[in-house]
Amino acid sequence: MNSSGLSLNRRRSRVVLSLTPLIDVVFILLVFFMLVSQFTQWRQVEMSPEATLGGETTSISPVLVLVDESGSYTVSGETVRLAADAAQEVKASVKGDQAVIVRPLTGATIQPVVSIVEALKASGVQNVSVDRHGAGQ
Amino acid sequence: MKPLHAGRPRHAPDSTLPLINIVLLLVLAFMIAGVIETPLPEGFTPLQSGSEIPADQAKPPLNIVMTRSGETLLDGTLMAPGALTAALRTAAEEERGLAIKADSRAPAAPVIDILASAEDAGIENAVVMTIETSR
Repeated sequence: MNSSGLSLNRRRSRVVLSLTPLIDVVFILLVFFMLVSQFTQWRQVEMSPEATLGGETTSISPVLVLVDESGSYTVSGETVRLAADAAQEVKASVKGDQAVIVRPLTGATIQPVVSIVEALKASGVQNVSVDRHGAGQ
Repeated sequence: MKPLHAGRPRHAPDSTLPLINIVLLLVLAFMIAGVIETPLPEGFTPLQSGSEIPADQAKPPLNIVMTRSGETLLDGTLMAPGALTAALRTAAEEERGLAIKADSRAPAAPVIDILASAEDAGIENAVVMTIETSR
């Protein structure tokens, strides 16, 4: 009985756990996560299409902000380059809850449209919508 | 009396253990901090804004990517004409929102068209995804 116990102990002491496969698996996991993980912090901007706003139609016509191909803004006939300046112009001309429509012209890209919507909301203009009339495909 | 294990070398602690620990920690860091999602097309330049509203993580929205040339991608594959309306309807039925990741140089008209279509389909939360403006 004693001899069998000793042989069991010997057999147990000879078992050595090889860590090489574990390292391989862990490295493969690391490479996988390094390749597929994305760390971009996305933010969201709400943009309302023109048709969905204005449930209550007012007699005051909306303030129109035109965005051209070069990314410049035209407000009340005046062209400005920066979204913040355009937002100030709009804020000065908006009366009460008057609607503001941002309308990109043919060839306009989405970045200046998002910039002006963001600038208008930041300056306190609430009733902002975007409209695609005038923007070709 | 001679001990049973006399002369047998004792197993030295494996020198690779600290390495495994560090690599495991790196794996954990990537798993926690990173997000696994469909990669964006090559050369994609995200929109920038000063918005501080984080993307809504409560219910994953329908993710639509618009490339610079105005093509619409859903889950990394080009959408067939007409597929957008069906996808928007399904999303509306599942009460999911819509998140558009548009290239900053993409034409404005198709993005606005998708927003309008989403409203028509009954999607309440349609947003444009941006990254923070680089200072």
